[in-house]
Amino acid sequence: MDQRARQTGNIDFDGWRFAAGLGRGFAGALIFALPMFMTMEMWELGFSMDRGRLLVLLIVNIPLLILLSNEVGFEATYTWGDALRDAAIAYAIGIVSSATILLAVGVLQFDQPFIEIVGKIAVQTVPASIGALLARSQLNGDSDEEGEDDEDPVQKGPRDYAREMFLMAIGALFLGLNVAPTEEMILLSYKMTPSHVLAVLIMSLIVMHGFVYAVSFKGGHEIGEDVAAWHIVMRFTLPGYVIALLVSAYALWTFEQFGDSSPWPVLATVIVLGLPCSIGAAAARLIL
Amino acid sequence: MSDNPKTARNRSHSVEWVVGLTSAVLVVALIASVAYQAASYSSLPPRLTVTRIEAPTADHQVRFEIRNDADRTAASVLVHGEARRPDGGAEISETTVDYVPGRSRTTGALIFSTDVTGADVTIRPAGYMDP
Repeated sequence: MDQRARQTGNIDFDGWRFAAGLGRGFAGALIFALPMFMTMEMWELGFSMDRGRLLVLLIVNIPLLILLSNEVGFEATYTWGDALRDAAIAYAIGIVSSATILLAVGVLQFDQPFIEIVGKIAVQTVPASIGALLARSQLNGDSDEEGEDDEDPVQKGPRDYAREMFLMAIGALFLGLNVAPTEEMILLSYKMTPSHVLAVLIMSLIVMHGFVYAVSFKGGHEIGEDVAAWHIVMRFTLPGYVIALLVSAYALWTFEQFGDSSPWPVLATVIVLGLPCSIGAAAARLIL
Repeated sequence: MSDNPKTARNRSHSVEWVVGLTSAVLVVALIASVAYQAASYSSLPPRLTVTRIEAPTADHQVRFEIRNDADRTAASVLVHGEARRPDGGAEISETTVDYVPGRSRTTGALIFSTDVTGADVTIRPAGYMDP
C-alpha cells in the first residue's frame, strides 16, 4: 500500500484517466453480471424476494466493496478514504449498468410497480458492483498507457492470511453467483443421490487443492518448497472449502433456494453450489 | 500487513492453524454426514401423503400439507381434490406442486368455486415426475 501511495500519491486530476476508469468499471460490471442480467430467476427475485434478505444483501455489499476496493480497486487505491470513494462509485456503476441493461432487454417496463423496478435493479446491482471493482485487475492489460503502476497488487502485494481468505470468498462469489439463483441448483440436488453429493464434495476438495497448489507455483502464495503438502491442505485448501461452502449457503439463502426443504436437501444444494464456489475460491488469484 | 511478504508467507501463524483445524473438523464432519446419508439412502419411490391442515376459508380454499416420507424427491406432483356435498353435488379441484423433496413437507391449497364446509373433501396425490 505504501509503495502504491508513493507512486500515485500526488497526481493531478486527469479527466481522461478517470473516464477510462469509469469505462473499465462498466465493462467489469457487464463481464461479471451479464449472465445474471439474462437469468430469468434473477428478474423474478426482483419482486418475489424477501425484502429483509434483499436489505441484508445490499448492506453486506458495502463493507465487501470497501475491502475489495482496498485490494483491487479500479483506481490505484491508496487510502481507506479512496477505497470508500471507489466503493461508492462501483456501487453506482452497478446501479446504472443494471438499470440500463434491464431496460434495454425489456425486463424493466415503465408501467411496472415501483417496488418491482427497484427490486429488480437492486438484486442485480450487487454482482454488477463487484464486477465494476474487479475490472481493474481483470482488464488491466493497458495499464502502462494509463501510467499506473505495473505491479499487480493481487499477485505481488504483501498480504496476510485474512486477506487471502477474503480473496477466496470473492472468488467463490465470482463463480457461484452466476449459478446460485438458477432453478438448476435445486433440481440437481434432487436428482443426485447422497453418493453423487459425496462424489461432488470429494471432487471439489481435489480440484480446489489442485488450484491452490498450482497457484502457489505461480508465486501466488509464495509457499516455500520445504512446506509439506498437508500444511497447504490445512492452511489453505480446507479453510478455503469451508469459505466456499459458507458463500454457497449465503448465496442460496439470499436467493431463497432453500424453500421449506428439510436439512438434507439444503445440505446437498450447498455442496452442489460449493463446487463452482470452491473452484472460484481456489482460482481467486488467477481470475481476480 | 506491511511486513516482508517472504517472511509473512513462510511463517505460519497459530491463527492459521486454528482456522485450519476448525475447517478440517467441519469438513470431516460434513463428509461423514454425507457418507452416512449415502449409506442409509434407499432408492424406493417417493411416498406421498396429503392431509388437510385448516378449515376452508371464506373464499373456499382448502389448505393441505403434502409429505414425502421416502428419500427420493417427487417433482410436478399433481394434487387432486374432490368435494362431495351432502346434496349429491361434487366438485373437483387440482393443483401441481413443483417439488416435494425427500423427507420433506410442503403446503398449498385447493380452491373450490362453491362453499365446501360440510362437504366431504378428499385430497390425494394423483401422480408425480422424477426430477
